[in-house]
Amino acid sequence: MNTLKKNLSIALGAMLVLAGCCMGGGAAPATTVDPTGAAPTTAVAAPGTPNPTTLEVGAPAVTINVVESPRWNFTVAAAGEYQFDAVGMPADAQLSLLDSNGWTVSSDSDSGDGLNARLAVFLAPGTYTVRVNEWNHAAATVQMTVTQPAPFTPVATIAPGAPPTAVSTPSADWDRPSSAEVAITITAPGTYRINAAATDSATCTSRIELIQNNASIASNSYGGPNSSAQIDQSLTPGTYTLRIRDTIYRACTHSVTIVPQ
Amino acid sequence: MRRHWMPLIAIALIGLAGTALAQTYPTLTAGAPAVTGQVQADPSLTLTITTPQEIIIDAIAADPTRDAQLRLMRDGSYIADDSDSGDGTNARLAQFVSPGTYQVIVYEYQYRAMSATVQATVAPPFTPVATIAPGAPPTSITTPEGDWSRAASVEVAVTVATPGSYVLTAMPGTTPSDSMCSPEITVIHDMAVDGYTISNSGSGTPATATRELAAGNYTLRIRNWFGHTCPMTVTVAPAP
Repeated sequence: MNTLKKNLSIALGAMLVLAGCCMGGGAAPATTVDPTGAAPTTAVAAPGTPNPTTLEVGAPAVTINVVESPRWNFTVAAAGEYQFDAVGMPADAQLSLLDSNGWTVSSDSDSGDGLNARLAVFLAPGTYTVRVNEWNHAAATVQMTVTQPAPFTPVATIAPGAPPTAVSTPSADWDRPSSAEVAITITAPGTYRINAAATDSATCTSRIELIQNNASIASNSYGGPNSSAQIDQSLTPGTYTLRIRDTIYRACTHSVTIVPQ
Repeated sequence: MRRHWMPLIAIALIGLAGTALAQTYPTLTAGAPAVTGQVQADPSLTLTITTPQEIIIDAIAADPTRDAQLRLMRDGSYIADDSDSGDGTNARLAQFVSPGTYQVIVYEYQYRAMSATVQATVAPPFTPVATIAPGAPPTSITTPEGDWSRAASVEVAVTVATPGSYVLTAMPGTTPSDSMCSPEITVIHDMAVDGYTISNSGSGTPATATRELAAGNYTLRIRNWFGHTCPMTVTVAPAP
């Protein structure tokens, strides 16, 4: 029993060391020697210690503490499109959406009103982290909301093999309001080439996103001939939606085709 | 038998520790009223420069899992920044600075909490590897391997007797391996960078530009943009 307790103690010790190592707690300060002359050493400032305000050339290193930016957990129970708004005016709020592994799913700087951040993204069920910061690294108060935007009403229905359909998209200051959607009904499984070409290619550049069951399947811009947007996708029978816009939100007309391959 | 179980128990405990120590944050709910987040200003250190000089600023995270970032500002205007030029993911930047007041902003790449040390030092001067007279034949140099800009650079001295237009050229070697050389020339005069860095339009091609040079001593800092060792020839020729 004593042996078991001792071994458990060793295991617990190893656990704490590993946890400290990998999760930012209690890491030993490192020392770095710079081959070109600068030879600062690290130290850990006590939490709550005011940061120094000056730096002097040739003086010993100063130790500073950086505070974690605000973040929230956001759990998606049902796949869908979600819109995140970070309002920080007059500060310049920045917004990032991270997945459960900490990878950035989407981020935005100024798609909201003024300098505010806004993004709309299709999310699969799971837990995400929403993070805000300020562009100039200044203090800011940020108001954060999440909504599910109203679905689009398709402006047309396009059948595979049909002649090109002209789709107009409006001018707007961010991606969603500058978009239009068309419905696509697939009856025969196979690979389809979906293309959108701006009718005024000197001014406009098409971007397309294929959506099914509240999930984004594929998106593209510049992938087709003459900088058109093009997706080659294997599709099963069902109903799909194609979201179309200009890459930088200008009012444009796009010629859309869906061709079985 | 008991010994066989110990590693499993340890692994289980470590796994539980990971779960228990995972960060949890307040919850956002779709459709709910706005929630407020207070963003704290990142540390901003005032750096006062009284004489023109080249300085090196280091930001070293105490925890190596944190990624220190540096931004240098002057009167609210961006001057330079760096992410990973220091050891590991630490930040380091070298900058010629003129007298004035600067701000050194330190933050973490993913905006996580971080403790870091910050230090500004006078950059040690280079010893020129060659002295080039305008109009002289090409001078051979070799840039060293380096993991940041200064460590990958050499300097050559240039004495200009007659003011005028000069064509400055750094030509990579001609062997196949030199095709990955991308020369850059920084013109330095009176402890300040003179104009934009001269670079090329692709690997294996020379960096060249015409510059107006006054009479006096100049230094050309030369490196391969990729940071790898690279043989080059350097010329300073009066412009035709």
